[in-house]
Amino acid sequence: MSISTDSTSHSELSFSGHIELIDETYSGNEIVLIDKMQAVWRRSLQYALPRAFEGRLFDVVTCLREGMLNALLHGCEESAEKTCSLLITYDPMRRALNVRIDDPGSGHHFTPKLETPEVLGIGHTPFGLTMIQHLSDECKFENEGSTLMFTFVDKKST
Amino acid sequence: MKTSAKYIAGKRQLTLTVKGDLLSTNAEQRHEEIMELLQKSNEPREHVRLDLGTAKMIDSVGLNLLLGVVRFVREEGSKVSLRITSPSVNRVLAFSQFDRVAEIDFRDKDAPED
Repeated sequence: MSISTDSTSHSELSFSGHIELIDETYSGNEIVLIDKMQAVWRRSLQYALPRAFEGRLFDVVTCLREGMLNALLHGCEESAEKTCSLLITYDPMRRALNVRIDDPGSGHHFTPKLETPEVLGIGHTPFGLTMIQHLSDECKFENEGSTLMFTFVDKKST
Repeated sequence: MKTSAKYIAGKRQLTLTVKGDLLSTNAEQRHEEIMELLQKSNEPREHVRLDLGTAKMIDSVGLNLLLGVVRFVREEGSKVSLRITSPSVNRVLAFSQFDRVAEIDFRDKDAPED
């Protein structure tokens, strides 16, 4: 799969007319900077949407972290030669924050709405994607799983 | 060390206070600290309380850390409870049905202690 890091093509694909908040490309070896990335995303969202998503900001940040860790670790295999992209847009009409993460991996076979993890038997199962599905309002995969899209709707403002 | 311990003899309760978020980048260190304190404590205990009152978020690796600690404590026969103040952490624990293995004490960080 080829990755488009061009914001125009992303916007035309899925988020036409939305306000672009973050459009970044990261190399796989930047996974060690995930805490710094997370701090930038959080501050950017707080600055751009100061009164939106009150009480859910850390849900959004948790999903961004999980989605990007998945892309950097599995999609890019932590390689400096491979990149993944993060696009965050805001739809003022729906008051919805849309996130799209593309990675160059071969995807995965994640079953949407995976059963709720059984904590007694979960072991060290990576279930970051399940967290995203539960915390966000909408979540879907494209390109056989190498594109992750999720949405948070600011319900308090509607 | 970001983790500290306090023993209340009357309740046979060991409280472990863990500072900050539980994330992939610090989970291993926090796990080592918690396990060290659990193993160092010689007092008889029936209840281990994990105070995560300063955690604003937890990721999947942090959640696995918690599961490992809870399993260890339950296997030794003690009850486990988690004190949390973050709605986001509470939602993660709720959908993962963490309340099946540990008591969840979710309250505002300014609420008085029992």
